[in-house]
Amino acid sequence: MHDLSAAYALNALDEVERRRFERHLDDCPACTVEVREFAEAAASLAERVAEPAPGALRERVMADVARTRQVPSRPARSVRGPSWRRALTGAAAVLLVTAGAALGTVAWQQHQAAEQAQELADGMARVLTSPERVEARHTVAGGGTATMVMAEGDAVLSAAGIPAAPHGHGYQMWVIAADGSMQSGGMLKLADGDGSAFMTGVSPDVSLALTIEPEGGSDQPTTEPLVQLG
Amino acid sequence: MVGRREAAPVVVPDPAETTEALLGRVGRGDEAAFELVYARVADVVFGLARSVLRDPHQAEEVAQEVLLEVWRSAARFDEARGSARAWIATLTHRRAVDRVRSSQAARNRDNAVASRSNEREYDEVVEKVERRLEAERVRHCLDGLTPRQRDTVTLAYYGGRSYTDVADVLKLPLGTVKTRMRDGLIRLRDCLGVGSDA
Repeated sequence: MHDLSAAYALNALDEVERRRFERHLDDCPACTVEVREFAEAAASLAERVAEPAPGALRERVMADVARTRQVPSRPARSVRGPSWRRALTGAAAVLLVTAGAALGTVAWQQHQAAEQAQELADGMARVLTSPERVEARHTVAGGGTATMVMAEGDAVLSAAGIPAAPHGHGYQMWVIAADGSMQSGGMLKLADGDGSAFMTGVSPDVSLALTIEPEGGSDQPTTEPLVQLG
Repeated sequence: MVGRREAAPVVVPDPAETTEALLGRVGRGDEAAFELVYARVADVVFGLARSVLRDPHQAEEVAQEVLLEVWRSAARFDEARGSARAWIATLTHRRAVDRVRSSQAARNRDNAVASRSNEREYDEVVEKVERRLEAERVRHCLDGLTPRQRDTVTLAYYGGRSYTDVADVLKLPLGTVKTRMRDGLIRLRDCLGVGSDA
C-alpha cells in the first residue's frame, strides 16, 4: 500500500484503488505525511502550466457564487488536523516509549488516556514533519513494510500491511544499541496489520527491529528479526 | 453647489494576506475575499484543467466547477492538512482526471488503435509540457529526474493518465511504473523543498 502514495498524489489510481488507499491513509501516519508533501510538489507542477483564464469565466463563477449556498465547516466533534492524528487519538495501539539514555535502559509505558494519545500524536507530528528527520523504510520478512522516522531524540516506528502473528504470538519491538545489545521495546499493537509506536529519548545511533515473540513478550529475542531499521 | 456624499467604509483586503487566510474568510461567506482568491488561482486552475483535458471548452467548464467548489467548501479547507495551493490543485486535477477518464471509458477503443493514439498523445503531452515549462525552478527539478522518471510523472500528472495507462504507453511493468513514479516524486519533492513545513 505504501508504494501507492505517489500514484495517489498524482491521481493515477483508479476509483477502487483510490478508495482503498484512502482507507489505508487513516491508519498510516507516514503515508499521510508523504501524500501531503507529494501534493505540494504536484501543486508546483500545476503552477507551471498556468495560463490566462478566459475573461468570461470570472463573471460566470461570480454569478454562480451569488446563488450558491456554502457548506458549513465540519462538525465540532471532528478533530482538526491531519487525519492520522484523528485516527491516533482514539487508538489504543499507541505506545509511549521512554528510553533512559544515560542509564542505557529503556522503560516502556502504555498510555490509553485520550489526552496522552493527543500528546503522542503531537510528538509524532513533530517527528514526522521535522526538517531534520531521518527516515528508514524496509520490507518486513513475511509481508508488509516498516518505517522508522527519527528526529531530535524522538522516533516513530510504523508498520503497515503486516500479516497476523501466529496464534498466541505478537510482534515485539527491539532497540539495538551501538554495541549490539538489544532491549525490549514492548509489543507493537496492530490493527488490520498496521500500527505505530512513538519513542522519546532515543539515541541517534540505535536501530530498531521487530521479532515474533510469545504474547507478553520475551526478555531477549527468541526469533530472527523480521526487519531492522537504522 | 455640489454636496459631498460620505463614502461608505470600504474594507480593503490586504494583498499580503495569505490565500489560506483568505479562504478562512471565504468560508464565512466573504465574496470580496473570494474574488481575491479567484484572482490568485484561476490561471492555475484553468491551465491545469487544460493540460489534462486539452480541449479549452471542457477546461473552462471544469475550471468553473472547481472555482465554485472552492467557494462552496472553503469552510472545510484545513490548513493543517496542506496549503491552499495544494488543496486547489488537487481539486482541479481530480476533477479534470475524472472527466477525461469517464469520457475515455465511454469510448470503445480497439487495443491496437488505442496504443498508437496513446503514443501520439504521449508525445503531445510531453511536447506541450516542455514548451510551457518556463519556470526555471520546476524545470531544473524536472531535469534532475531520470528521463524515465520524468516521463512517468509528467504523463500521469499533465496527461491525467492512470499508472496502468502509463505502463501501457511506456510498455513497462506496473511495478516499475509505480517505483518510477514514487522515486520521481520523492526527488521532485526534495528538489523543490516542499516538505510538510513548507
